[in-house]
Amino acid sequence: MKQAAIIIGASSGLGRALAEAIARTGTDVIMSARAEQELQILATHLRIRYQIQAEVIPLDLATLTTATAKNYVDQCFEKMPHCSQVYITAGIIDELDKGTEAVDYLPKLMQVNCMGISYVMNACCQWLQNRSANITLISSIAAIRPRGSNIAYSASKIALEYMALGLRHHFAQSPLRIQVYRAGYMETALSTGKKLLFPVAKPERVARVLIKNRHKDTGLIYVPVFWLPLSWVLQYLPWFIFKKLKF
Amino acid sequence: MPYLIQSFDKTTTTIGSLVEPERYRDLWNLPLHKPIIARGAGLSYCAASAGNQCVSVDMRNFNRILSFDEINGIITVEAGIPAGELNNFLIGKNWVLPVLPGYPAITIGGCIGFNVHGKSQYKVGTFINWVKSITLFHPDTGLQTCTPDTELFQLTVGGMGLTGIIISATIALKKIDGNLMSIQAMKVPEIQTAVEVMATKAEEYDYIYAWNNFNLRGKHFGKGIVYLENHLPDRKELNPKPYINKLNRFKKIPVLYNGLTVKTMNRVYELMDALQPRQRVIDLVQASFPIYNKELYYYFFGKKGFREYQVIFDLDKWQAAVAEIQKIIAQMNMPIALGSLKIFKGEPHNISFSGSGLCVTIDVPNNKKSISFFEALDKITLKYGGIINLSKDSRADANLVKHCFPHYEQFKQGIHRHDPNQYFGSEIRTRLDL
Ligand SMILES: Cc1cc2nc3c(=O)[nH]c(=O)nc-3n(C[C@H](O)[C@H](O)[C@H](O)COP(=O)(O)OP(=O)(O)OC[C@H]3O[C@@H](n4cnc5c(N)ncnc54)[C@H](O)[C@@H]3O)c2cc1C
Ligand SMILES: NC(=O)c1ccc[n+]([C@@H]2O[C@H](COP(=O)([O-])OP(=O)(O)OC[C@H]3O[C@@H](n4cnc5c(N)ncnc54)[C@H](OP(=O)(O)O)[C@@H]3O)[C@@H](O)[C@H]2O)c1
Repeated sequence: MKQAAIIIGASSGLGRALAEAIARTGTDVIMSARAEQELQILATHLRIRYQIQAEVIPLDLATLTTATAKNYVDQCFEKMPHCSQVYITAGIIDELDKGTEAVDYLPKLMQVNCMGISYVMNACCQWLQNRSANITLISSIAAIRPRGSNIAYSASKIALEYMALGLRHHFAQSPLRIQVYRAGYMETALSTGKKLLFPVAKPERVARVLIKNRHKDTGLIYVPVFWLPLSWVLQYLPWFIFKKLKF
Repeated sequence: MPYLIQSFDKTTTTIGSLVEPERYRDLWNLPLHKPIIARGAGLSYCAASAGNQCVSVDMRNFNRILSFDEINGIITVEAGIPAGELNNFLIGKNWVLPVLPGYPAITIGGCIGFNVHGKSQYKVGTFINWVKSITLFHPDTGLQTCTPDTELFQLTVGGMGLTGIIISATIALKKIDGNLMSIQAMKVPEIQTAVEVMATKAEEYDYIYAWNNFNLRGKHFGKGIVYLENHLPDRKELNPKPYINKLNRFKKIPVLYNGLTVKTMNRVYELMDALQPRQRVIDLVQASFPIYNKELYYYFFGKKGFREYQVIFDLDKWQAAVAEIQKIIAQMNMPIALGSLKIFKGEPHNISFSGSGLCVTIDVPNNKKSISFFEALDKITLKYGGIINLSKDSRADANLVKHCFPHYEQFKQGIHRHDPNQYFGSEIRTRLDL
């Protein structure tokens, strides 16, 4: 049977790689983000390249409310009622998010990375709770342990994780799978120009992992997987050492 | 952040910076305080898409198909799409790119930037013959679409990225009836026979090229294999895997080529080929890039790299020119890692590698001797009016190029007219004084 997926954050980075990888499997896609022109170009490409249905529904997570999120999700499922995969890769960081006095960026970070996504996730659950479907969210290794940079970003991601894992528990008896990935560094605009301590993964590689695991009830996992042992080290590193780390 | 970029032949390293835009707005807002240069896969042998103090703009995120007229065989693509990936898609639709350079990761922008040729050169010419229009971005003029009847188009194809950033291009395709290819591998005892076979069979075959052993002395010089290939109307189920660029994987391999190993390697190639049937049929995906999966050849040059000399001689001059090349190889006892021939038909175009005659390719390990060897080859080129391939040459200077290409000055003036503020710059622009 023909499958369909919603990808939020498809205009760049992981979301774009995911859109291409999903389309390659013959699955129809609905792609969302703010940059409509970029998405339209990608949609044309996917239609020609993989003979699938590719639609664009622009979305700004920063201004989303429960009601507009429901509208958006209804629109997606009306366009592609056969949709059973949802991937939400959208996310932002802020250069000032490292303990500066003014935290004006805080509401936007929380809104985009956590609240906006949670509204959409909730609305999707209503459509998908009785289907064998997946809602897949991207958190970050920044959520492993709070540190002195990307402070609000980590907070927004950990809040998102709890929202998602809470829903996972709520829908534990349903065939719906809610998955959360703690992604490590990826070669995307988000990490460009940053000095990074650990290896950087290609978004295409991460996308393949997400697609491969979509039928599994994975809960919270790391991608690439080498971040799991690293996460233990970071988590249990004694404070007197951890406080000296600059990363 | 300063960023080191090494040319594919590893003979030139530049310190500039690299940006990897993903969206159009990133392109419109590129910083212009330093010269910029578009970069494809970086598979030019020389540093054409990098330069000291230059910003290389990696275009590989712009890799989408924008429109496809399946009936008339016309496709519009963004410039960063790899030729191999595009071709594999087209094979499934009974079309192919008429001109395919030797490696799948090479981008369409790079194909235009150096007006590349393929093993089909005699039949279909160079890339320019198939480009119907180009959409180009220049900070002074914004987005412009140009067609073959304009100066901007003529300067952009083979223009090494110096007229602006190619955003997309519309390309005419070649129809195929099946997805299989017949290959006839004909043994030839020396170079004269190789050229005779190629010249007489060129009209009959879609693709024609030769591998030649230039390490043999005397009458065996150029002994080798001529490959004669034709599309077949037959087909089989194909499910091509995405190509992987395996050329830049290992950076620290020691130099494994020397006089002895190079000769052995040539012999091994010959023996390996002898194990295969003279007449064989393979699918188009495999046939399109004979070098793919043989990347080891490049690794063995080690971290010092290699140099390639590629030159076209008129058909009435090649014999005298090659006789001198043969003499120099013997005199200098120069180990030749690769010798190869193609047959060309076409008109000269600006300073790109096009024209009619015999195309001779010679690869050698990079060392002091290779520089003096290439200087000797330059003299032969100039004496016999040869044309060199600038995409393969990391050391040709302005003086040589001026003498090689009658259109040099005209081309240079054209570039200055279209980029008066010299926003675009690269190592090759500086080296060739463009
Ligand atoms: C294994 C191998 C086999 C090869 N075989 C052949 C062959 O058979 N025939 C042949 O002709 N060549 C061949 N080449 C050379 C190669 O095709 C050319 O050098 C080609 O230009 C490389 O393209 P690229 O995508 O790597 O671009 P780069 O090397 O990064 O750039 C090449 C030039 O094109 C310009 N350019 C790239 N993209 C754009 C853009 N979007 N806008 C404006 N300018 C742009 C750059 O500025 C630069 O001047 C081969 C190279 C290799 C490594
Ligand atoms: N890259 C890394 O190293 C890294 C590491 C760990 C975790 N992550 C996480 O991985 C996910 C993917 O990141 P990436 O690297 O692919 O980032 P990216 O290239 O910056 O892409 C982010 C995507 O989010 C969309 N987006 C941003 N703001 C939005 C808004 N207000 N409304 C709707 N969409 C919005 C963007 O589209 P528009 O701008 O068009 O709206 C874009 O499609 C993110 O959640 C990120 O936090 C990344």
